[in-house]
Amino acid sequence: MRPLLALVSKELLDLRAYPLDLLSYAISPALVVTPYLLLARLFGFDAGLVDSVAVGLLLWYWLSTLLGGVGLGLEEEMEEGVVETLLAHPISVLTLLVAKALGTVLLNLYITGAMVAWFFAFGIPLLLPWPAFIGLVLLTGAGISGFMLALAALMLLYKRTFFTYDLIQASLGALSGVAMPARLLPRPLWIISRALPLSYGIESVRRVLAGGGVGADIGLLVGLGLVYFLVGRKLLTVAERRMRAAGTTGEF
Amino acid sequence: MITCRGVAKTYVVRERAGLFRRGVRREIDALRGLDLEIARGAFVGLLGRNGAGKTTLLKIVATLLLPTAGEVEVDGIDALREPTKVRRKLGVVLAGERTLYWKLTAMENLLLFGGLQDLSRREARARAEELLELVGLSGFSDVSVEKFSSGMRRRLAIARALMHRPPILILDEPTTGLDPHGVEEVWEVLRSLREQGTTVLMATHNMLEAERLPTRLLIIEEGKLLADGTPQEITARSGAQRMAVLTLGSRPEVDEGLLVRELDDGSLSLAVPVDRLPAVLGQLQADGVHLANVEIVESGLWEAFLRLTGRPFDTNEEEP
Ligand SMILES: Nc1ncnc2c1ncn2[C@@H]1O[C@H](COP(=O)(O)OP(=O)(O)OP(=O)(O)O)[C@@H](O)[C@H]1O
Ligand SMILES: [Mg+2]
Repeated sequence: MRPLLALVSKELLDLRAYPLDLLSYAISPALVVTPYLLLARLFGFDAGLVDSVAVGLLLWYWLSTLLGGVGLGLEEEMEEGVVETLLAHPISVLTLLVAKALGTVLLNLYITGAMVAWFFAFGIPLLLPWPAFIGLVLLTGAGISGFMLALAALMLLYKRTFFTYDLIQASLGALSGVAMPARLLPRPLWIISRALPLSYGIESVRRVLAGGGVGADIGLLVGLGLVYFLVGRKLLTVAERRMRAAGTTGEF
Repeated sequence: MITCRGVAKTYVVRERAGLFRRGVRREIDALRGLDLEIARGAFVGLLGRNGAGKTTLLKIVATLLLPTAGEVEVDGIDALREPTKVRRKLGVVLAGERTLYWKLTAMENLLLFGGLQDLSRREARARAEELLELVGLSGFSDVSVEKFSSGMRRRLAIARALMHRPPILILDEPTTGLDPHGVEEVWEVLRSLREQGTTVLMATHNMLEAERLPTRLLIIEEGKLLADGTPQEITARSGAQRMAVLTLGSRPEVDEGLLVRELDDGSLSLAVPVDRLPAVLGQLQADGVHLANVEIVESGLWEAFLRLTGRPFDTNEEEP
């Protein structure tokens, strides 16, 4: 537990190195939603606004920060050159990545908070079922984290090559239905979307906002996240062993 | 304390053959069956030419690298089967300066790595203060590492490796790139560890360091153990003697076995064992060779290393 806590607090200390980033995390989502908020002031507030902003944009940030923070998360350490030193300690790559996931979740709560504050600044009350909403967003974050852990393991096994950040982010976003409901996708893509925890996160948040219940989605979200986590954990063990055998620990 | 039995490591690399063509697969035998026994409290210096396999050996002991064959035990624990347990016993300082988080302060680095060794926050802070004192960085506790000089980073890296009071310390070239003051500062820390009975395994290219700190030296060559003994034993065994290096104005009629080298300015340099100096000087005088300078080379280990690792004093530069 102590190693994990030490690593999470390091993640938070990192934010201090570039304080403007923290400002940017607070301001840029707010600026992105501003046109919607202005429209809302002109024409009144409707459910579509909550849907596109609260679900689309917010979860998009969760996806993108977890992708950078966990899926491609060892890059910072690789660039710093500390991976081998870290792994000379009694911890595994899994511990490093779980710490990064927790750090990223905290960062996202901050982003979410800033966005909500912006809503209030524009005089738009968010009539959300708050506990359900926050709970679902956190569960979605956990689901995405599990997925990203498996992705991180693949990155370590096969290197980045064409798996660029943008490509992964765009395809995950499109397939999980961040902007549009996933059921509108062509069938093969829709099938892929059913394998992504984020899809169920988004759908259940949408449903809660529309006044419904979450039903089986929540089970699929948690279950799939857990499956990815377990697969990722296994793959990380393989990757770690392979790096130790080949002498490529810390290479990228 | 550290035992290696038949440790071998073969790296497989693929050569690059241009943008699209796959290069040939190549195997590099970095270690070829190394047997080694390091006793508790020993301070062992690991010498060897570039690419001899020193870092490879250190990383295998540190569980960062798996050997292709052989067994490694650290404090009685199998390093291949139980790497995590072994890591608790070891402090590891890898080569270079990039073994710390540069954006964090000295204290934050120590607290983080102390945490990774399962120290509580309070224990870690007390230990960190003690160690910053030991490595002479107390005044820089809250300065970020990117603002440090190379020497400060090296000392902080050693402090970091000592957070959990490991019985064994592994160091890869801890003083490379430091000025003599920086080197002395690191040595002071290492000497105090030697006195406290910490077992140390240290790779180095600094012959002065290898002469002064270790109680035992290992020289490896192409992945095999070439020499093992105290610095004095190794120097004596190599047949290296104190040498006089003479700078001459013209080419002398020298004996076989004396080593001549032509310098950039056209003068010649001749290396002579000190015990043969009177005879050689007499000969030079008889031949009327102008003697421009005489220098006595003191570092026995320097020369012993050159002899043992197969490149004696520039012998071949004469022949075209
Ligand atoms: N990760 C790696 N992949 C492939 N080959 C490697 C790797 N690391 C080292 N080697 C090769 O193994 C051999 C031994 O390297 P090693 O780094 O152990 O030498 P060293 O004694 O530490 O040298 P130096 O004094 O230059 O640090 C070299 O031929 C090197 O090219
Ligand atoms: Mg080396």
